[in-house]
Amino acid sequence: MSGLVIGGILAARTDPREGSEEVFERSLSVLSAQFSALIIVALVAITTFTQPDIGGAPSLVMVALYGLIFLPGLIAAGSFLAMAFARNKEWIGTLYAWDLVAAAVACLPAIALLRLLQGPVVLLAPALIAAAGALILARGRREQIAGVALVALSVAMIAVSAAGGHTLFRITPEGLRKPILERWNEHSRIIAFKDDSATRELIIDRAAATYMRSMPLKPDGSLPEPDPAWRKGAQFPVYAVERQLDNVAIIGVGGGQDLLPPVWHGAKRIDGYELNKTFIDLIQTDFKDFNSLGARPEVHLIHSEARVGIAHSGRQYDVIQASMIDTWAATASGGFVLSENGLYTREGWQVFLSHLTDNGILTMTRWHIADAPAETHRLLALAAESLADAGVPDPRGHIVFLRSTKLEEGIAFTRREVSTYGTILVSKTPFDEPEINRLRVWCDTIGGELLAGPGVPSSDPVFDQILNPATRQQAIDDSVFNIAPPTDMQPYFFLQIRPSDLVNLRRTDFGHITDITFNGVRVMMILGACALLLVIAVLMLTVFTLPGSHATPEGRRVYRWMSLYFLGIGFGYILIQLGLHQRLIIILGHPTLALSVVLFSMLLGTGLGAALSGRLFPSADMRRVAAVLVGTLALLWIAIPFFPSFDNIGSYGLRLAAIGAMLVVIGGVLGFAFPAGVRHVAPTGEWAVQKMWAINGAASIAASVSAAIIGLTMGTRNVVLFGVLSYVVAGIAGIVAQTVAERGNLETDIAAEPAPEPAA
Amino acid sequence: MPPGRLAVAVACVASAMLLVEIIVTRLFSVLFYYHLSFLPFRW
Repeated sequence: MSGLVIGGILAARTDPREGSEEVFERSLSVLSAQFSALIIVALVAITTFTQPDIGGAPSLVMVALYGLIFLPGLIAAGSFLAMAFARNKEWIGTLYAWDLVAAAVACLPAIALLRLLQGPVVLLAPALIAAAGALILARGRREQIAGVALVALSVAMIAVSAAGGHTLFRITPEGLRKPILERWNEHSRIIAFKDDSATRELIIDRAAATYMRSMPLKPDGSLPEPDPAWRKGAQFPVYAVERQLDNVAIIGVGGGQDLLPPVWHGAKRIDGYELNKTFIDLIQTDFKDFNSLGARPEVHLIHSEARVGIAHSGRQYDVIQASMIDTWAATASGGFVLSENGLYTREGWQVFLSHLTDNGILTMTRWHIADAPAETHRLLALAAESLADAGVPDPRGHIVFLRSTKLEEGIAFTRREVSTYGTILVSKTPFDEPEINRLRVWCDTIGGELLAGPGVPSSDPVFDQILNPATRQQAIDDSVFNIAPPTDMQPYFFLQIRPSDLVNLRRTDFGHITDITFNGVRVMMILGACALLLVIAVLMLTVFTLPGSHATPEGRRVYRWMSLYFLGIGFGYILIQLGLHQRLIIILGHPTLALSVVLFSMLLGTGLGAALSGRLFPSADMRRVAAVLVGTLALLWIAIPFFPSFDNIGSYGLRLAAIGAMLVVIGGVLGFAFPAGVRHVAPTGEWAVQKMWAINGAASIAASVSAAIIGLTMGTRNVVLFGVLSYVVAGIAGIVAQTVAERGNLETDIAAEPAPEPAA
Repeated sequence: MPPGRLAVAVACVASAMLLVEIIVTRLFSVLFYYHLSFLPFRW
């Protein structure tokens, strides 16, 4: 996005309205060719010089350096678009529509390309498309040769990579053995290592890990017998209760470890919900000779986000289980917008509890760190509130919490602390004394400890306070951590620190897990400050400079008010888009699909709106444009609490279509704003449009970081509210600019200025 | 109306830009932790 801003500023040094069409198109051809070539350079750089280690949170400097690798190419692209839009204001509606619809269409093949081309080599696809753009506008022999060469180079490298088993460009982990398998899709890169003859380690993206145990079919083709070792893990306590548990739902299958306890227990049906299709493929196809879980008749692997899958399964389960589901798989804007977040909210737990049989048990396993029990306290608070939501006001007989064997490695707030796995069991039917005794025996067997439950002396007074309805809220308020039960409007279970903790804890020596979270917040806040500075700098560069070489005083006033207008619509558009994304990701389930649907639908709608802008608002009357924009967005804000109603649409396809249609309409209305603004600002000077493009880009950057910060601290609906307010500010600025133009008789009507004649 | 080839070229550059942003997000998820990967994308 910074590339767009810098490209717009650089493009403002020239007047694209002058000169022949041939010179104009040759300039654009060169910029498109540069964009293509610089993508290829970035691809080579990032795969040549990158040797990421496994583990450890990256520094801000590292993040910035990698971002800079792609900046030059995006500057060329930003210059291209700024020049194209500034050539003739009569073209803006059409060109902006082509820009947005093309961007929308690009969302669709992105997933297919990631699966098809496997890895960084997929960057050659946009390089190829940009080279095609250069070739289309090439007028001279040199531009034609450059375009053909870049197309040929991109195609050749894609072909070589495919022929060589996708090994041409790789991001190789340092210090690890050679992977036996590497697989990319829209969710992740998974690399498999042969840990020892009995286990395969599967690394998801940077460092999240899951394991697959060796259990091939017997030589006669029959299934292996269940192994007593399968009952030793943190996933097993629910079966130690010894209730009748026939139907089991596993959230996050991974390498299949969580399927082993119910298989050992003798469950009749085990539904394994897995978001990432690669894991299902590994169990059912690639590693089926190594692990026979996929061949078991009771095991059903279901490719679906678990909450959505269970909600629409039509089944009642005896066990719903999630163990250490925390890949930190962010799939939306900013940070902490995680695919797992929807699993740890009150609304999510309502789905799980309502799909349990009367004797059923919901069980989850998380880190339990006795000296910093943020996750444990939050999990207990979530369980207690969710039971209250389900009609169980006093949860004390319905919740059991236990810890497994202590691990040696330090995990959280200081490296000296010892961590364990903590497992919670929640049931609508109270746990009785024999069940508690069986769990106590199981804990003694594995070296664990029963920490909370009916008749169990509590080891932590805060446990009692959280489980007691009368003292729960006070315990939440008094905690040094943020342990409030998350909701769908603020679904950030893993963010257990508050913004003020950035100051309070800045000198704290973090362990590995907490460092990931804390560093993310720290980087986000720093980038938020940087984004604000960038917006101020770009505004200074534009507002205090002239819109053109012959700008009139009225023109300069219009130009300054329109700077505020473009700032407002740039800021507002991203806030609305990301606010909707944050909310819809939970309803749509598949995070990458949600990203694609939101991006595609809104960009498509915005493109159509831009194309219709000239017809619907022939005089670009800002009063009408602002009224339509603000009115529509106000309705959207009012409607957000009713979004869960989409879940009542039984068919996933229809649900998707309904949400997509809503987003196309919203995008369409937002699409009126940019072309209408260009038509007002273009007459003020030959540099004006490029500078507005830069302001719009800078505002978008600031809004993306702001959306994450607002979402984390105030919730999703307030992200949209700030977006609406940004459009209110933009509308006021646009109306004032129009009033100034009318009083000064400044030309704003698009039809008043003839377009340059195209070259023959 | 703008020349058709200009409109098509704008579409090429715009779609290439969006593809770069989506792909870079995925690559950065491998290089960094996720909550950092979207920041360079938006920057």
